[in-house]
Amino acid sequence: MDDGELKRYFAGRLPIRVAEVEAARDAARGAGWTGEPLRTFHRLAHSLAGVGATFGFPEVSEVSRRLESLLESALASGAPPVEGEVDGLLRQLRELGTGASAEAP
Amino acid sequence: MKMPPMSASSLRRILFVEDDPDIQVVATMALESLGGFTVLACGSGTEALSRFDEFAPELVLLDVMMPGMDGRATLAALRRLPSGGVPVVFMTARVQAHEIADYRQMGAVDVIAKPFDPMTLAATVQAIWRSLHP
Repeated sequence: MDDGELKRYFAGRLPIRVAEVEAARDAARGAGWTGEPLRTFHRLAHSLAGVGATFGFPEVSEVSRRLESLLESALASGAPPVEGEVDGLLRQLRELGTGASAEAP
Repeated sequence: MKMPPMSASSLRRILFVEDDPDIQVVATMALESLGGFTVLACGSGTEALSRFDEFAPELVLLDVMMPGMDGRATLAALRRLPSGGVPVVFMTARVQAHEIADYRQMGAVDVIAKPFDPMTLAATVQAIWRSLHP
């Protein structure tokens, strides 16, 4: 096992992980940014932040961490997050996923 | 970085409880290939509890933030098992001093911060084990 092997593995997984977070975003939006769907969305953003760092993808981790922080505020305040910011961060994650997947040997 | 062969008293079986499938893969790979451990990965506290006796782990690595039964609840349930006194190490991104004190208060012997380095995870676990068996 080496760093290259780990990066190749996760580059293949990243688009799937981002799609899961996007689906959670859609569910949270559908639930009015409340309840279990919002908590699930937050948990998946938190997980992706940790996984990205573990596999050597600091940009994925950084963007996910910002998303996690937005959602943490929404959970704490009860106010919905700014949807444009949420969508913008998810767009960045999708681009990172597409790029990583294309670059993986 | 392959670790030297282990003695008869060394750590062998690790139960790893983690809901994230990719973290399961990388940690299992790291612990088995670099540490020489036998790892049973479970995706939830419920699964870990149901397979605990069959696997008879010597150490448990336990994620804190999991859906349903989280790490804290899993540890509490584990301690109620007749054979549930094995050392438990939490793995979490929440590692402020008061949080670590809280984990130890609950009975965790140590905490491994996330994100962890897969290349050094096995050595970290081995060091924790040695600290418990000087």
